[in-house]
Amino acid sequence: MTETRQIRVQALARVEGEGGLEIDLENGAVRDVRLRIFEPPRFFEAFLRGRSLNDVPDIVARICGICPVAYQMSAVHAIEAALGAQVSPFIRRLRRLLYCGEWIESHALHMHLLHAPDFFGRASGLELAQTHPEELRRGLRLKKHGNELLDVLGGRAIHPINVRVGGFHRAPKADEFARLIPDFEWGLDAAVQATRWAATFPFPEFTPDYEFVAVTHPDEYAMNEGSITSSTGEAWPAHEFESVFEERQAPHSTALHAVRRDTGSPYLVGPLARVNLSFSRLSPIAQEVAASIGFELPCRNPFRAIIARGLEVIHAYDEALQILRNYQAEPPRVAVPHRAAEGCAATEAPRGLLYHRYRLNDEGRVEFAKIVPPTSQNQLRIETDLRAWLPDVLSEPDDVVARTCENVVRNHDPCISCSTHFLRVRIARK
Amino acid sequence: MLRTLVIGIGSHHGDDRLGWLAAELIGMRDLPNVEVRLLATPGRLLNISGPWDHWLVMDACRGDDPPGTIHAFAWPDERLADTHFTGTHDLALGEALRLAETLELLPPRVTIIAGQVSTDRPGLEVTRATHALAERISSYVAEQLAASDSCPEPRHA
Repeated sequence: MTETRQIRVQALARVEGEGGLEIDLENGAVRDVRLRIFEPPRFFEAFLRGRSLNDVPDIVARICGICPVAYQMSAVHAIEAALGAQVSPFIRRLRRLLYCGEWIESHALHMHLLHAPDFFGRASGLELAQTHPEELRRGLRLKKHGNELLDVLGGRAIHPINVRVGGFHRAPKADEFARLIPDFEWGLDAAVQATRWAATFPFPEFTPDYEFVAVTHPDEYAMNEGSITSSTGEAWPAHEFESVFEERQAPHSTALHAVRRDTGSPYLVGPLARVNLSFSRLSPIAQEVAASIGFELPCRNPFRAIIARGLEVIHAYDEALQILRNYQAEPPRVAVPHRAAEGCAATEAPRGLLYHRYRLNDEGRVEFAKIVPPTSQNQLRIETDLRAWLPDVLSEPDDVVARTCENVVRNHDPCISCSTHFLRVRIARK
Repeated sequence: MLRTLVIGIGSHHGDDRLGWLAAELIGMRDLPNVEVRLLATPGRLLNISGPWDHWLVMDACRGDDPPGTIHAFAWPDERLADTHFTGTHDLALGEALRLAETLELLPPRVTIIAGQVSTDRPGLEVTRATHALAERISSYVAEQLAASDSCPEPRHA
């Protein structure tokens, strides 16, 4: 007699939208796992058609409330690549500084309020705050620093408005940045403490055979520029992204699944991929902390992604401090003449590689836009993780199975994670 | 006299701007020991520091009462504590206040003034009714702050 067991996490709420998790078990084996993303289509690629290239950074920023900078950075780099524009070293530094702010605020939030509760069996950051108030206060203060940097450089903390094709509308005054330095000096120490704290968590033994994919750069920890690199040893320029990777429709999800074209296999983007592929480009402080806590490479345990995030927060504070301390305002933008052209770029959002491609007409209007966010690239990888994870926990009660599956999801994506803390789980047995 | 921080929570989306409007109107009154701050999300309450005796938080709300109704709550209030996330990228007001309380970030006194609006959809202008509601809230709060150190009393328009 066939015995089936179905575990449903009905409301993953948003990944920028709505999602849920369904697990079908049959005779004690995993029959199917579906990470269902049922967000309505958002049509951003269509919104962009016909709009001036000058509108693009502000429109794409609205795709995400946590990582608007990433969407802006991929957009401006893709458009500048199309038009052959070269920005100055000053603008390049400011863009990395802006990305540092976003990584700090996004990672600090995820580490302390969203991910850490899993390791203490807490349902939320609020519950964790009752037993670990100092750590939560620290996390909130780190997040605040990231938001303040976005505020000063981006014009506001959420959906910045200072980014434009060719640079920035305005370069902050030196004293505006100088005021941030004391907080960032404190933050660097606090980020080290936070990473050391995360390293003490009880990590399950779980090491999927990931193919990591991230942008890498020979001279720096890649944010805005570099080659798309795989842990297989392959590397491609951004304009080959679509020939190597493709998005496929899945019946249970309105979000597309990204896979490698040649094998159809999933791959992993995000902090764990970046740290594995670019560890030697992390700041010396981050590398020292990694060594002191026994963080060994390659690290394929997705639960340890919280440590990777911590190392990136350390790096972001360290690099931001160097830029802030040596800042002298220069012209904030270069002229970008309009012409018919097509270009693409990949940058590193907090959650992973973010690819944009635009085709422009000779009036500087968008004729075509393609956006491949990290969430869709990781989605099939998350389902694959769940298939590998489930056999070890199937003997547990349904609520434990569901909770640990949520944890597996939360390892990968802050946007999914923040919703999974208030999931309702329904389990049907036959 | 109490050092009061008046906090308007809102956005540019139609009548959701109520909290900002009311806070700005209070700021224009130049009340002693009163400062005004505008926040885009309740989660930003967790970033506030300073020697405040009293936070007076103003926000738009929707519910069963008619638009124009003014609600005043003194924290902690179970009705607010029961509010939940409205989105995945930030905390609801009750959640933010509970977290701030747990982390000992709240001043001794917290008052929440919620004005009932009819719509908060993006792209809409603030309605005349909400402009008028903001005026009434600012007058009400100013009277309360000037009259005594006590929290504004619950009231319905």
